[in-house]
Amino acid sequence: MIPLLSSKTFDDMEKNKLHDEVNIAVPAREAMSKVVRMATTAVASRASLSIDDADDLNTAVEELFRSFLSQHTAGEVDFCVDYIFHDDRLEIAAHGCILHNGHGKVGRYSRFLLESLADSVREVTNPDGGLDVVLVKNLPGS
Amino acid sequence: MPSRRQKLSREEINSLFQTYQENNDPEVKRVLVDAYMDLVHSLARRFANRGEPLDDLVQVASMGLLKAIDRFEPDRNVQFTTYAVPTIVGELRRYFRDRASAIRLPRGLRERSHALNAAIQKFSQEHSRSPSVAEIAGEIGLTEEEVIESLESSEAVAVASLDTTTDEGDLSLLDIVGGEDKALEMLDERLSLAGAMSNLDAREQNLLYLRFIEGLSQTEIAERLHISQMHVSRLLRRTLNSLRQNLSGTEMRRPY
Repeated sequence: MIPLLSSKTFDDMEKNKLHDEVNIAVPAREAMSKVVRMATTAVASRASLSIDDADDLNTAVEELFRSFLSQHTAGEVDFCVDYIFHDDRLEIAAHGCILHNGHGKVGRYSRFLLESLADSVREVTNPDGGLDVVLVKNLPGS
Repeated sequence: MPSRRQKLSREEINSLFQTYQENNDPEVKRVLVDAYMDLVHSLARRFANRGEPLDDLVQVASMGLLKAIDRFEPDRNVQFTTYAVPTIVGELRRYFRDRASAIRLPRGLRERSHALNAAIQKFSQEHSRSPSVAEIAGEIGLTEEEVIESLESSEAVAVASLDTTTDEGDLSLLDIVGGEDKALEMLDERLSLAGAMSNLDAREQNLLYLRFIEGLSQTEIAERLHISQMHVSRLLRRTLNSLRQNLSGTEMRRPY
């Protein structure tokens, strides 16, 4: 089971504005997957991740995007992702994504994939009461 | 059993094929593969200078050789090379055909992509790790943006779906992953993916096994399979997309 956390993590983050953040919002359409990938690669590059790690992260975020696409009508909502640079890790929060704690074949597949590609995966309730999926990738040397 | 890299007589070859047909001994298969690697290299070189790295072509041709070895029937009294050459060439042609159907990249971007590919391989060999975008940009004199663009463009080179079942049904997973099949069963169990996995070909299953069960990085898989990291990245992405599509097809969409 993916642990369901409170919004404490985000509250703490709100109080601490020391971290650089990149936010993107793209229309939930298949054609936008390349934009999401390129943004993720660019962020991974900024975080000095290796090409291997950047590609893993890319695949993980793309999986979140595809999961989001399957849960929403194309073009109706935006897929919003926050990339948060910490000293020792990169956090990626995808808003409005639900993994269903790995229920169903696709859910289990998504969970397995994300857990394999990121250093940690968790679902959190955001300040609006919705669910976000947060991926963490530790940075080299941390 | 004859040692590797030894020129084998036709009788020895036939005898090896007889043995292989009887007991599927992987060691016999290895000797046969080794005996025909010169042929593989020679055929792969015919297709060089068409924009694909020679290492990748050798890998594709090797897959053709494996198929030919598995399907060859020595009782038909035909020389193995008579059967193997069209099989290997067919595999290479199929590889180019699949790629030709994709988006054609501008020449400059294609050349940059090849330079990038070579630089990643060189860096990985020299430093025993995957480079960062900044490192590789410095290595080949491109900006980080150009490197990112090239990395992404390499994904667009081939868009053909790999979930089409190929005629590799007679090549069991066991042949590919040796004695490690228990771990693969674990993957199946863990994901309940039996149906979806079975729609992937042996190479795709092997790739998932290496990445998610053995936990190898893309660079390590590239070294193991003698292909480029970028090729691993492409294959992995397409395989995961195929797997997801297979899974989505078997599951009713839930209301959220």
